Amino acid sequence: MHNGYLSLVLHAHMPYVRHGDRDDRLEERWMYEAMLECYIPLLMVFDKLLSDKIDFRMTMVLSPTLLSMLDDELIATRFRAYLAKTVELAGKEVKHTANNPAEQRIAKMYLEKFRTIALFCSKLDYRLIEGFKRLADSGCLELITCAATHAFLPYVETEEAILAQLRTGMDTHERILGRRPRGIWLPECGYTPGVDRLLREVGLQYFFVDSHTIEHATPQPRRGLLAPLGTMHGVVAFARDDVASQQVWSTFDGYPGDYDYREYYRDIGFDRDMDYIEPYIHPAGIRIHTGLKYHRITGRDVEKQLYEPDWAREKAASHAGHFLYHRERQIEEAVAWMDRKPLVVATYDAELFGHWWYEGPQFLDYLLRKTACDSQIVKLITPSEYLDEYQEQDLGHLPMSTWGRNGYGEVWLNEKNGWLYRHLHQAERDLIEVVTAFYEHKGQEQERDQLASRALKQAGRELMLAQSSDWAFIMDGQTVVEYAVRRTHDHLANMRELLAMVREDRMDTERLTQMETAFPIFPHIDETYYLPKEAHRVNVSHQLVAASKGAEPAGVVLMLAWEFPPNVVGGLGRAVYDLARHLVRQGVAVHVLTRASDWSVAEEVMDGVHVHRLPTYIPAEQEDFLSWVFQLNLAMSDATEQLWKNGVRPDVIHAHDWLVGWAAMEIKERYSLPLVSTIHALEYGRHQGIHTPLQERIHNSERTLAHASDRVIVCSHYMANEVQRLFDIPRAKLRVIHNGVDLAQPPAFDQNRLREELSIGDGPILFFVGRLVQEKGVHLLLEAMARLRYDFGHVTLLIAGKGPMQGQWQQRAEEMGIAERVKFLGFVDDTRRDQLFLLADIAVFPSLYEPFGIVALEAMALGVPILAADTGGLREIVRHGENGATMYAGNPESLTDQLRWLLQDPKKRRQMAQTAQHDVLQHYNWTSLAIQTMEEYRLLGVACLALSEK
Amino acid sequence: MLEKILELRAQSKSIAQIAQECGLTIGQVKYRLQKDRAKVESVSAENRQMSSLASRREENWQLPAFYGRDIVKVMAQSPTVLFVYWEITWPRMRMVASYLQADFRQIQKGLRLYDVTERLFDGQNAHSVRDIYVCEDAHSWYVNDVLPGRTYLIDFGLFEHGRFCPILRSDVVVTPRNTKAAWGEPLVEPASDRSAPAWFENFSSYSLYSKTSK
Repeated sequence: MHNGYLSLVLHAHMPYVRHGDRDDRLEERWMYEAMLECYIPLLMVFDKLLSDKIDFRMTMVLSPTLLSMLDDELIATRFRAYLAKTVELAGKEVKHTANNPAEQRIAKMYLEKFRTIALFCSKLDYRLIEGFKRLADSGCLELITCAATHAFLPYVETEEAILAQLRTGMDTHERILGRRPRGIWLPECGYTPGVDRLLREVGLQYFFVDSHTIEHATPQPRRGLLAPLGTMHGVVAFARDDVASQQVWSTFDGYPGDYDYREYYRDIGFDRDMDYIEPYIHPAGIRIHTGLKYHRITGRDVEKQLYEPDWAREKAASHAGHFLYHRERQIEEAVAWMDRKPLVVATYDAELFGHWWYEGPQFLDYLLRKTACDSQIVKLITPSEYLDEYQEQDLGHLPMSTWGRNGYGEVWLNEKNGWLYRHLHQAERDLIEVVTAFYEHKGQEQERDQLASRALKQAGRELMLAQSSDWAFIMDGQTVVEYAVRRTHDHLANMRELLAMVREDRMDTERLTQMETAFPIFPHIDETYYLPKEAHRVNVSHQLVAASKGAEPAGVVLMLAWEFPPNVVGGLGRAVYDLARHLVRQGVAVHVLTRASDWSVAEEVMDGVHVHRLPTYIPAEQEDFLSWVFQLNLAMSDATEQLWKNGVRPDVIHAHDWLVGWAAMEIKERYSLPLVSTIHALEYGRHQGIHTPLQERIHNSERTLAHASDRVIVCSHYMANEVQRLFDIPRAKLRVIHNGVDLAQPPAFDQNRLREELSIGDGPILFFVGRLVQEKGVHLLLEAMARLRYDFGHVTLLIAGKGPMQGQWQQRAEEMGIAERVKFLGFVDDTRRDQLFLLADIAVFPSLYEPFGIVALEAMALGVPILAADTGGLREIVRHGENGATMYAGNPESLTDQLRWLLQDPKKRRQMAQTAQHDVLQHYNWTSLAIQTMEEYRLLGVACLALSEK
Repeated sequence: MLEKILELRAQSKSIAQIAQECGLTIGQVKYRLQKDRAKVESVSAENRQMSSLASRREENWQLPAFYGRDIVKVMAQSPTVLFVYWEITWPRMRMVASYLQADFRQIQKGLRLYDVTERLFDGQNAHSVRDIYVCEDAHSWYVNDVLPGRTYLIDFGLFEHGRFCPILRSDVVVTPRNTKAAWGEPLVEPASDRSAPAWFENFSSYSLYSKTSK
């Protein structure tokens, strides 16, 4: 009975360095060196163990790029030639060293080794894959996968691209090796929270992390590094053991540095005469490693001595014993406190074994034999077997981490390679976008679709190849930087070229074939892996587009308004809402961009109007108003871009007031759209002039917007004159379109009860409603009340609304001794306001400044007799003696006279009220105002809006 | 001391106010700010060198320097270092310039780093805020001395009249913790509703509603 487990994991990876066009690429040679020195010797070790019936366990990662190259005919053919050449060189060496028996012994060793390898390969018909498959079938070797091109996943931008890496990797594994892998080696052990969710999604059960990843997990793992940890998304993380790693990896005291081991850096490729070695190095005469090395490490700063194979073999055996001894101690210590068999996971780069550490495969051979046959304490196990035995793991949250220098991302992200990510991220987004667009629109022409699909597949290959972490790694190490930069650049440039072909529907089949031939990796790549993952989000946006397309709208209007129901401070929001929904009734699609608030949803359709409520970077309360307004404009401009991406194509922009001016002008410029602005009120009018820098700023913003607009709509002729006068706008650009009111049914209610509730008798009632600001002229009304108090003592004045003047006016009423007959009601809602209108005998609007005067219209719509000052827009609404009475603005005497007249003649005032109601119906109903507005759009050349004329 | 000065500066304090708070003369405060500015510029000169190296490498370089897309992207290089790259498109600059009534190139650019760990950020509830000045031609930056195990986001923006005007916001990034969890620290479930906020996982799903204004 064993006390614990040891899991040995080798990570074999090679970037895709196949260069079909030429056979002298040094980078491609990496592959042949690794095959000759690592992969085949390792395979031979495992194969021998198997034939010796040793029940060992080993786990090996074959990265999908490596696997693809191992499976490649051309690579196999070229390797064969490489091997033959190496055998030839070894043979020549035996002759060359004839007069140096010590050296010749080594030459003979190589010759024998290479011949054995050649024999082994020819038995497999140079298909190493078959060798790996046979071992996997035996159950002794577990093969797992890696991200398709060894992309460093924490720095991949989108989930789609990560999933494509994972899925393509698994597909390749299954296609070539015949089975789905259960586990994955995350490239560079690069983990970041969320990767686990995607691993789960593609059906992978486990992965590997570095030891500090588990050490810094939350909560603290109870079993430390001696058991794997589950993540919240149900995948299992195995931690590589630090001590086991150090013993093999360490550049100071790791095994490979032993003085008896072969020296890597003394190679005959550099030592022999040029004439002699020329056929075996790079054709351009560049000296390279040939793999034939005659010396041992010997020591630091000493003359290198000749290699002694027997010494080295003994060292390998003793290092294997040492390694096992320490694992046994580790396990014995842990057994005392652990509730299950401890597991030590030792992971290494496969290329260390045989290439850098020539004796590595021997070491592994001894280690596997010793452990499998002799150890009473440690048993070899694969991760899958472990998970079959222990199905439940403790759970933990793992931090982002890697096995690279200092444990995080600095190898792949620093001053030497940081520039890559801007391009790689954009490439991901571009590919996703084009694939999405293609799958939305395909199905028209089969042949064209097939070609486009081919191009997208190749685009996927190019992106993945560019994503290989190897390039960033090379740039960090400053080795073959030119090559790494070239590769990244070329793959990205190819991808962009392919996407342009698909986007613009101009296929260059020859070029496409050329790219496919150059990089024939992943033949069955599935480009739909790049379709946006959250399909429902896409659907939402499609519905949005469909909604506006389905009904064949008579044009699309993009409305910008800083306030909109339910966020309404003044009359603007209300007016925009009424206009928008009446445009919708006329068949126009309307998108309103407005501010967000805590208590309304971000996106909704209100009476057919698409409302987009936009959050800002800084909340409204925090900064001064102007900064916030600008932030809202930024958000509007971003939202427009999003709408555009989602397929919404506005025909015209309709801006309301200066507050949305920056966005309106920007959108106009960007999309070349006509801009209509409605100026609801002017800063100049609000303050009877411009007095402060802020007012000046706003005034200028109004001017700029007015000038930038193709049409300026105002609500009254009075406003038209003001705008023309203040901003010097050509009259032709100005249009007067009134505001409207809705002719709703007057609310039914008990008048007597309301009178009781307000404790007012049965005398006549005057009613004012509006914001209590100076310009509304309520003080005039108070003065008139004082003058009328003897003749009309039973009259009551009701004042609804709130504002800064309330206190002052209340006090004034007290001073005048009319407090009893004047009631300040505060804010009233719409229903109560309508009831008060109906209760009133006269509605009074003694404004000093009133751009339009929508309340007056609302009173008129309800059939209430009105008295209004002859100012601004009011003057245009009320015709004295016909549909109401007017007074000289600011003149209390005039106000008193008119009130007296109206109070004395109930019949006349009812008659005028009826005329007024009729007028409203005729001129101020939203249907006709919406049609007038559409006419303005049409005059700006918004062609499709002409439909509504019918 | 410089830290404190920069912090007060970020709070829109005047030089005189800062001098009083720090017990320095106005001249001393100005000198320290100037020195910091110079330091910032030398760092970015290094950056510049790197990027020109990349573009000089090949004569037939086909990748655009910029993509016409407004973006601020933050990546965690290590528990204490963030990498930020950005692109502000010309139309956006134009809009900002028209708001500030100034030449965009003349305005001091910078990054504002917010620690939004376990917060649904609303623009003003960050645990801490730090400003970093960057120079005109920088397009990426390494932000040093951030804290491990925190959630950050970054605004790219302009400093004008002592006030920061954000023009683009990044998604969040989580720095890895580099110490053992405290005794009893609980397991936190990942957010199940990923539409809001998908913030505790380091990458985001591409979507047609990308989070430009979140």
